[in-house]
Amino acid sequence: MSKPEVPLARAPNYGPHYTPNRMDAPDQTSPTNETVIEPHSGWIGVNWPELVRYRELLSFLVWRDIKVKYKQAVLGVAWSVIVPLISLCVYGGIANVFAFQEYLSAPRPPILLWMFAGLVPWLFLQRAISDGGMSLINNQQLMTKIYLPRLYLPMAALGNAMVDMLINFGLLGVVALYYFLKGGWTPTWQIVFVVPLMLLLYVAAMGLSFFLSAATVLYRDLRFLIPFFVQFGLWLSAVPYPLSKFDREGLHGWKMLYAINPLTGIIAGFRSAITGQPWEWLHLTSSIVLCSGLLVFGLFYFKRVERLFADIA
Amino acid sequence: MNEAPTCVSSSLIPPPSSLVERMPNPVIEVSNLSKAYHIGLVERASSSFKESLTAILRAPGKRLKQLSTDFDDSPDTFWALKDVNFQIEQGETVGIIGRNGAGKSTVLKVLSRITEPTSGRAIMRGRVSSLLEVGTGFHPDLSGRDNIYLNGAILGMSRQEIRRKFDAIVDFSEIGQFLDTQVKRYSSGMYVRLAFSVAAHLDPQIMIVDEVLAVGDAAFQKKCLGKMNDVVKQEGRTILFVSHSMDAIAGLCKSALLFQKGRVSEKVPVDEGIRMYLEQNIGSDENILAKKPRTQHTARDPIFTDLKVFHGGRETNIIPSGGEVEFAITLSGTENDAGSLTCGLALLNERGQRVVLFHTLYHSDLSFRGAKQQTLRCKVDHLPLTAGRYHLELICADGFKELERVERAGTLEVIFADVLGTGKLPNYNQSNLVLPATWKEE
Repeated sequence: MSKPEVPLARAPNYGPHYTPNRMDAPDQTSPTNETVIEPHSGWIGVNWPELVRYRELLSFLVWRDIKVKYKQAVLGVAWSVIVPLISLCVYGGIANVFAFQEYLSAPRPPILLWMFAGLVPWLFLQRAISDGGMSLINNQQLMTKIYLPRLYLPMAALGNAMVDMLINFGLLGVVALYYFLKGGWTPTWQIVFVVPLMLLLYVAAMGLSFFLSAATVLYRDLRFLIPFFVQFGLWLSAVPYPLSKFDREGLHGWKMLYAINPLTGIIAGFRSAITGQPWEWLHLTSSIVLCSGLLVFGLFYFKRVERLFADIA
Repeated sequence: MNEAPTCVSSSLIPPPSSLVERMPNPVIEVSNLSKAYHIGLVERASSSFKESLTAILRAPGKRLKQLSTDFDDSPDTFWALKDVNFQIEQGETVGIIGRNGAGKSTVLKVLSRITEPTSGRAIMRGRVSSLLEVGTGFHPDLSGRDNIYLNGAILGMSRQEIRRKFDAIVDFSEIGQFLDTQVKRYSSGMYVRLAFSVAAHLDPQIMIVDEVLAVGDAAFQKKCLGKMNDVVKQEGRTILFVSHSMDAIAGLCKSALLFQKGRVSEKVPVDEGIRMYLEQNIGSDENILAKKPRTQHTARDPIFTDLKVFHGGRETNIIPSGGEVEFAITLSGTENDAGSLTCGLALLNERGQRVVLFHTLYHSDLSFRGAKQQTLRCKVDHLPLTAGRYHLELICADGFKELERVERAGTLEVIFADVLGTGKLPNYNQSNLVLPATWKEE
């Protein structure tokens, strides 16, 4: 039996060095998007083009959180100012009682300004840990009922925290201006380092919230642990007291131990840039290395467990 | 159907090459798709303090096991989908039907990329938008206006696109003056209307819709179906539609995939699919008439013990509109009753309204003596009902004294048949009876 002669559909001739790939295979219906759904295992890369395509969603999510947050509060947005001022009063009070100003190098900056310079980045990190960490389980519906780049959920929580942080920095500017006019503080050129430090701060926040949010979906235990992270993190990152305290007491080993915590370097960095205290180079370098590592790890951990979200959440 | 039939493009002979060249690839191509879950078997309830303590201590290990992606044939593994194959061409509307837990929603979740398959692959060609729930991402504290933007963005629309369609969305949803009210103050109907309107104005090439029309009032449901129909007809979109409402499936879809325990049938024409689904349900419907709830005026054993429905000599409760049907009713334990018993069989629609009554007295002037066990047969030559589900009610009386009434004795599924010769019938909600008539212009 002879088969009927069927002329085969032929691939276009692209020349001798052409290797066909998926996108321009001749049987492609249209050059539009073809999605292949397959099981993945191991580490999965980030789909950057998709993040770009959905970028408006991120701004909508941030906008939603901000709009909802202050909607039914009597004082509304005023809370973004009141909360940092209250913590400034508390920790500024502590610093005053224990005379932490004594430990700072001359010219000694006003203790309140010094405290606030560390408190503002810390408040942001605190939000990254708590809001970022809970961002996925707080948006369960978005994980189980629709597809969207889930990385945007912790990022939206950060975006929201960032708006508050910018308000806080404005407040810090007001406090600084007060001391500048009153005398007691003059900015040095080092204040420009605030910009790269903000970048470092954001890198740390992303790393933390990616990792914590993904891990919280898998292990709800973290819901109970996160409040403790926040409380201990404050002390372990040397926010309410100066690192130089250890120098004065001769506990250099203890001080070096703080370099393990990447957040210490950031907080100390902000204080150095704003109040002109000597830089803690060891802590800052360790912070840069560890925060970058944390971001990469957080991102990959998130992508790795993302495929389980809908089944578990 | 104990073997999962695989869906192969129907012929074994290769189609002519000219066709191969012109015919585009299917927009959805699913091959050997499987999805397993750890179901987390319930352990025996601990009876002592020591046992419950060890159970708590072992819990972390159990949790870790549940998170693993290794699946085997252990009883802890549940295959929600097993080797599912199908292909859907552009412009097709396919209904996905099956009982609860058959894998319908899971397949939609996999195709929407919400969850990953355990094995196999699916290829989607075109922009996909899925609607597994109305109002995903709606925030109760935001106004209707804000939620349109938010939900639109979540469904994948750009800000510009939403702005362009905003008025159409608001019009379609009929929420009018409540646009700037927080949605938590909406009635549930308004909420659903708004949510569906946003989704209905998406422009995907492939639309995946789960049972979302079950909510909302009938008029709005109809409007939604109409909108979806327009979308298919005018724009050649592809729709995958899950519903338990066979009316909705029949109204929207041309073909159907029947899911059963994670496996899928071949793609069949929608009427065929609905028939298969309904028959599948009957097999499992092991409700014994004698055990069904009934009204009795004196305490006694049940009178009605069996009800069988025949069509074309075969026991089935699916009959075509205008078709012939025969009921066999078994009564028992009436030997002590006076001796002028009557029996009635009524058909009720889903709203509980009686559509028709067949009664021994009216139809055959028959009253009978009680007996230990007896069977009555009632034959109807033409049952001119519109397509849909009807409930059967049985009544037994002695003279004027009602002895027993079984309100939900069984169901009858009437499926479409061209009784009027026009290819159309009024629908279930418009009319339950189909009687021949002629209309003329004067």
